[in-house]
Amino acid sequence: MAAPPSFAAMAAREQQKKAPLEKVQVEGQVILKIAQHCSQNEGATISTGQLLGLDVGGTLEVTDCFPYPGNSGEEHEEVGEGESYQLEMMRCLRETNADNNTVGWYQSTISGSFQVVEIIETFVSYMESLERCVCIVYDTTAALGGALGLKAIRLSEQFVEAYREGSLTIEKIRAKGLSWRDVFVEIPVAVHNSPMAAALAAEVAPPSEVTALDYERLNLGVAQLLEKNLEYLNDCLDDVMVEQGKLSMYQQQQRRQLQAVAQFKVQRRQENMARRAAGEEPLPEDPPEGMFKPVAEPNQLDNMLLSNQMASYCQHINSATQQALSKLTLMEGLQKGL
Amino acid sequence: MASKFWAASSSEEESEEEVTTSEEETSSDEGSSSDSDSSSSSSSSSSGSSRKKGASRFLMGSSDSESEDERRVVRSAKDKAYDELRATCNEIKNKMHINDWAAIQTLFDKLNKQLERTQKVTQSLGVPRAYVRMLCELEDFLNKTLAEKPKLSPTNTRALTRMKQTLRKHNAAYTEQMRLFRENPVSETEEEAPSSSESESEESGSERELNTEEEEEAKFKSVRTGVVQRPKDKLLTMDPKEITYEMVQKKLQEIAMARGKTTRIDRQEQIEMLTYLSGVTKGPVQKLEVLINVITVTFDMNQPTQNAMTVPNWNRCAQTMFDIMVLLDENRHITLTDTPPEEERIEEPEAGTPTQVWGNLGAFLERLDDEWNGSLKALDPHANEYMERLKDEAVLLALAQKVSDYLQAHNELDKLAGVALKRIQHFYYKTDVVYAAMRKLALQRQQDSAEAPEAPTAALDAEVVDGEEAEGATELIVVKIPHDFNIPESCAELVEQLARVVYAHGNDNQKGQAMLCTVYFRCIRDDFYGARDTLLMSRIQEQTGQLDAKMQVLYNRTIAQLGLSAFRAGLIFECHQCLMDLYGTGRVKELLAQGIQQHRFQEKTPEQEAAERRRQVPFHMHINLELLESTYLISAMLLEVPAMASSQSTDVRKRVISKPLRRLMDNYERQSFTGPPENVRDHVMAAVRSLATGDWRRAYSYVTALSCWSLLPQKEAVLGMLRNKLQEEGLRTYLLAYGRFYSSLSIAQLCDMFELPERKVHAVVSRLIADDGLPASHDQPTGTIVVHHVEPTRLQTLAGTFSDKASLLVDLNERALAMRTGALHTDDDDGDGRRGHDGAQGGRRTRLGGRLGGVGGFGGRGGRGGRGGRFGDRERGSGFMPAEGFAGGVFGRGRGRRTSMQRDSNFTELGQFGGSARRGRT
Repeated sequence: MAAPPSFAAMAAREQQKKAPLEKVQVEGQVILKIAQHCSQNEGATISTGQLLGLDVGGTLEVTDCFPYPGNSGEEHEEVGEGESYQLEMMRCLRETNADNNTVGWYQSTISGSFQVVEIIETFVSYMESLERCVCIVYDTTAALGGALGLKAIRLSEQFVEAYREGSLTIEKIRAKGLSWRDVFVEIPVAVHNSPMAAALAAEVAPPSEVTALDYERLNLGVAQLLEKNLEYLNDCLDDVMVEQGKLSMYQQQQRRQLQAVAQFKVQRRQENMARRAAGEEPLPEDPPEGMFKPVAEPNQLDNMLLSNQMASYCQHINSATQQALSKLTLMEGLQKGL
Repeated sequence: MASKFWAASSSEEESEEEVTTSEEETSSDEGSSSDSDSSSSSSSSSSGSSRKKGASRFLMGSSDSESEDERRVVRSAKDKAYDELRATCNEIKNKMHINDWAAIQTLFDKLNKQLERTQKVTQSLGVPRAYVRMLCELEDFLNKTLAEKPKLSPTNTRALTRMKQTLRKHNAAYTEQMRLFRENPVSETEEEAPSSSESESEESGSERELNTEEEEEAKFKSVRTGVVQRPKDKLLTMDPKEITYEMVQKKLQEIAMARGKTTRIDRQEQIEMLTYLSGVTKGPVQKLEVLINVITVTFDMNQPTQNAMTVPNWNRCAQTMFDIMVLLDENRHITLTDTPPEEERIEEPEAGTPTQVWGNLGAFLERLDDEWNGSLKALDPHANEYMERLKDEAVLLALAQKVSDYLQAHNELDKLAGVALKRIQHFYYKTDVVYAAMRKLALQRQQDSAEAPEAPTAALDAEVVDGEEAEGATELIVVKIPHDFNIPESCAELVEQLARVVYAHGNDNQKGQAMLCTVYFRCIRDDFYGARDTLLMSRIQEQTGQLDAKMQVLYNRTIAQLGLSAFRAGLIFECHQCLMDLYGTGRVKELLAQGIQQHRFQEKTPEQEAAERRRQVPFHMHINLELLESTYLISAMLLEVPAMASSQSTDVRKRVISKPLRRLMDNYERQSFTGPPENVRDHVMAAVRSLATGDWRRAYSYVTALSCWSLLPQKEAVLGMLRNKLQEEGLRTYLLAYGRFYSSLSIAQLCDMFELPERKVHAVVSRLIADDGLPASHDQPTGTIVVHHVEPTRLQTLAGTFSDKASLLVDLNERALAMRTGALHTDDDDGDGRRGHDGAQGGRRTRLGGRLGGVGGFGGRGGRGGRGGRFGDRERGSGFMPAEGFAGGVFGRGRGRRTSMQRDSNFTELGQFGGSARRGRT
């Protein structure tokens, strides 16, 4: 491991050139830690933890992590406690001369369900102090399927900009050219192991995977995955419909208001004509301020996030079915061959 | 005080009550009961009005009976006054006992006022003995008190001194009476004796009067006791030959001027006057004017919004109308106009010259019809009087025919349409049997009136008045149906013909009503398809909200009949569609205007209630609610029970077909003990329970136990149809509910169970298989149905739900987009730019859709970016709705209901999900 450059230098460099984050390099040990933590209290709660590491040029090296106790995000009275724990932990790490530079956080998720408003809020608050932070999302369902569901994500610049300006309206989204796919940016993850670890792995690993009889790989058990994802999709659709309802309500209200304004104007015009006939000053035609309060447009954020979630579910389904299909064709070929 | 005037016309004597003979007592039972009312409840307005009613009831006609009535009324007023007087006297006596002079003083003032009133009422200057006695007693007591000088409170002392002064002043006027009284002090009980003697003398006096009348009969033919004393009726005492045109005209004008100001009693007088005038007129034009005035004055005698016209009044109106018609017929040069004449006619126009007289026959007829309806509403429908009144319909119809003949001859087409509509409204609810009965009655009556002597007309003709006959006529003017009234044998033709007239000349409202009436008419003659087509052609169901209440009621009645007719024809689905809107609201009575329903949570204002009361349909036009309810519930049962069975077997919740039935079932199931069925609902519920297990026999026995089937003329056919339906639905329900527990079912067994022919069973089963209700197939060689047990996997279920939701979402999206582009942004440039953007997004979505390929609704969703496709969709939708479904909307809820259960070809494997997805789109 290269000698870490001083913090001051790093900070200065960071400010000098804002090279876009190209990849996240995660230590194998970190992944194991995350996986352990997340699978420990898999289920209802989301497990979260802090990522520590270094920001080197285009890559963000994640060298260590520690979990947060319980669920930090959900209960507000524990926020203070969580923070103090975090600070205490950081202090301890510094004392032991370990890496203690925060680069982001990790959290567990079930499929794509991490894409909610909270994560965006957390991101924005992180980004206030730390421009180049990432969130590593660990998908526990993928782990059940025997795959490593690890993803490093951050928010896109455009989105953050738009988000900071306030409520996301349709107009704004359109003006910025944002779409639901532009909310999150996925950064490629590279796993880095120290030579020692690699050596150990080579030592521990079974002699050859190719020669071993591995019929498990031909298992077509996608039904469970599909079911789950479909369920989530259905839930999402319900939510989207709620959003849709809000939108149509808004449209109705707005239309009604426009009518009311038009009516007011017509009335005023008539009144003005009468006044002019009577030789009085005409009143201004526009309705006075505050008479018609603009109808609050529903925030589009939820909609975008829901779209994201749905997209990820669909992707899961896609990949699962793709695998299953390829297995099927394989089997078909095999049987023909036999 | 209504009776004031009548009192004035009678004699002065205070104790006239004794004049009443026993005959009169019997004839005026009602009157005397109202008397006791009025005397018991001092001067409350209600008793006053009841007396008024009594008065007008008996004061209709002429001469003798009238004068009797007069006396009776007077007696009541006097009685009341006397009772009040006596009560005050007693009170004064009571106060005297406790030496309360302040109270005595106020009571004395009151007594004096009452005396004044009494004198006004009795029109006599005489002083009641009770009063005189009171004065004596008061004087005595005063003197006594002054002599004794008891200790009194300051107020009392002051009152005493004042009393002394007033009494002295007051008694000066009555010294003579008091002296007489003191000479002969009689107690109150003894009072009757002298008064009877007095009355005897009075009677002899009146006899004397009568004698003189007889003597002078040649001169005063129509003089009556009551009339003679009226100073203003000079005209009546004159020789008819001396009465000139101007005199009549003047009188007529006088009466016309008095319209709207005077009380009811004046009107009575006016009518008498007019009847007299009509006899002495100098020509048909004037007579016509007089007769028209008779009608208008009679119409003024009651408030149409409050209570209906009395029967004699009504009869008088009808007869007068007939007279007018005869007059008009005889004098074809006279026409009636709506506009009142600008200048007064001074002389009777030459015979044969075209003349215009003010009057609107159509309006008169309409009013007469309304009054007839109103009186029916007021009567108890189960009493004999109702039947009697109902018989007058013939009169009304004859009159309507006359009027429409006249209107047709004079080419007043808009009024003709109104009259034709009125006539339709008398026919449309009559079945052939009822019509035939009515026709018979009318003809009978026509014959009777042709045979009868000229009595009824004589009653109105003052010149030929004959005592006996006139009296009979007052009791009941028998309206003569003219001989040329013909009522065709076929009601259908008549209605058709009348409807044509309305369609040709009526306004929109009239046309609508006529149309609804014909639809109703067809319905009760079992022409369901004809009725339905007529109704649909009119498109009236789309605008039920804009109709006025009366027409909405008619519309609802029509829909109800349509439902009943569909049921009789065995069209269960149509029947349910018609009736569900009526029963869905739970206020059938209100919708059909057949009674006032009280609602638990909403209070009606009195105005609303009065309006509702006015809307009510007379009893003889009612649609039997019990029959309607059983029809509705049974049709709902036949549809709902198989649907419930199919939703039980698959756990997807299906749309509820009939909410009221479901509600009833929930209630029924909540009961811990269920007794034997009593009412319609119980019966149907019991039938539902049996049918749900496929036990059609018991269901049928429950249904046939309903009593209302006897109301149907074609009872056997309907019950046969019901039996058939129950068998089929029973089979369907049985298969849906229990089919999955079998691996195979023998068709022969099923035939046996449901007593159906094999072909029918085959048909029902095939239909079920085709509709994905039963996963089975026919096995012809063995004559069985083989059931496949295929349950959808969880994944399939989920996918089905997903497709449902996705399609719903797409729909919502499209709507939102349409609103955004169509309704909200009319500004063209802006809209175009945005649409371009949309298009681009749509395109992107298409690509995405392609990428996501197999995932549910996404593929379809991407494609719909373009504008043309969207609008095409919408247009198709709007054109589709009215053509598609027949739906009986009630009160504006006439939206088309999509009934087709089209299946999406993509989802045939998943059967019911596809179906529900399509349904979700509506």
